[in-house]
Amino acid sequence: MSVATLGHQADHGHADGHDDSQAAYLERTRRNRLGMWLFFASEAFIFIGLLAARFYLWVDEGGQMMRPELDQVVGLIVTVVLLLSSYFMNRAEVSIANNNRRDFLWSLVITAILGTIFLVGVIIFEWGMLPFIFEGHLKPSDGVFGAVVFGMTGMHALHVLSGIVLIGNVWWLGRKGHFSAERHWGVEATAIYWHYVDLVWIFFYPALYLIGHAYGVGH
Amino acid sequence: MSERKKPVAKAKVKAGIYRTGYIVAIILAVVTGVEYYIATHFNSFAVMMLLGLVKAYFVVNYFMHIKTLWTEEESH
Repeated sequence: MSVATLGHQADHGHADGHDDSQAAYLERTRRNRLGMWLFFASEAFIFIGLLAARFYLWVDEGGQMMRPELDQVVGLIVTVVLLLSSYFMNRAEVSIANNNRRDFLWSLVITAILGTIFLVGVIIFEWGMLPFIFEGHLKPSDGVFGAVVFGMTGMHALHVLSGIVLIGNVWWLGRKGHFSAERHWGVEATAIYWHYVDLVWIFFYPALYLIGHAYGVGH
Repeated sequence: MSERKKPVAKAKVKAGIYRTGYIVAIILAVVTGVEYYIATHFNSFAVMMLLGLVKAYFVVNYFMHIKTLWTEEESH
């Protein structure tokens, strides 16, 4: 069951034996928030492990940090797109908290589109999965560079994809009239998940594209 | 007169609720630009990690509302 579905049930106080007063709802939301942050903490181990692999493995004989020669323009564009999507996700959350349903729904649509652009950017221009459009720089089999780049971007892209699915779910429920200024934990949970995905990329972007001297690998 | 004032006041409130989001987005964009410049001109690992932490602070504090974990206030 998705975070948004759980949130939807909480946002409407379904007949689940819970006290449905606003005070009880706020108390449940506080507990949900704590659960969400514990989930983020557990996820952080995966991402920190991947970052550790990058900094441990991408070192030359002289002990200097290095990185594969990736397309800087693609890296910068997908980073800006993801940051922009975080802004619109925040706008969606603020909109529903202020009972502005139209802005809420449109902001979700824009966030999902920007998330999809990010995914397409990675899949086509970084992974080269559609070589008739763009030949990728690296293959997963290109030693430590290929393994780490595909491991990091793959794990992150999986989270972006699940975030887009959650946003679609929240949009669908929102369109049907669910969520309100007082009760929108499902929106908040999806928003903080999306910002978490952005937070991970804040560290992955310099680790993959900027830190260390470029080393030519690829095809 | 009052009919003329009403929409202006409403527009101000609407702009106000999104202000924090605008400002944080602009800060994140500027820091990303600085990060790229530092990387291409100086390539300092420490500075780039520091800039990453600055961006993380803004995202965690203003977009993820971490403060609501230990305060009574709601996220908005």
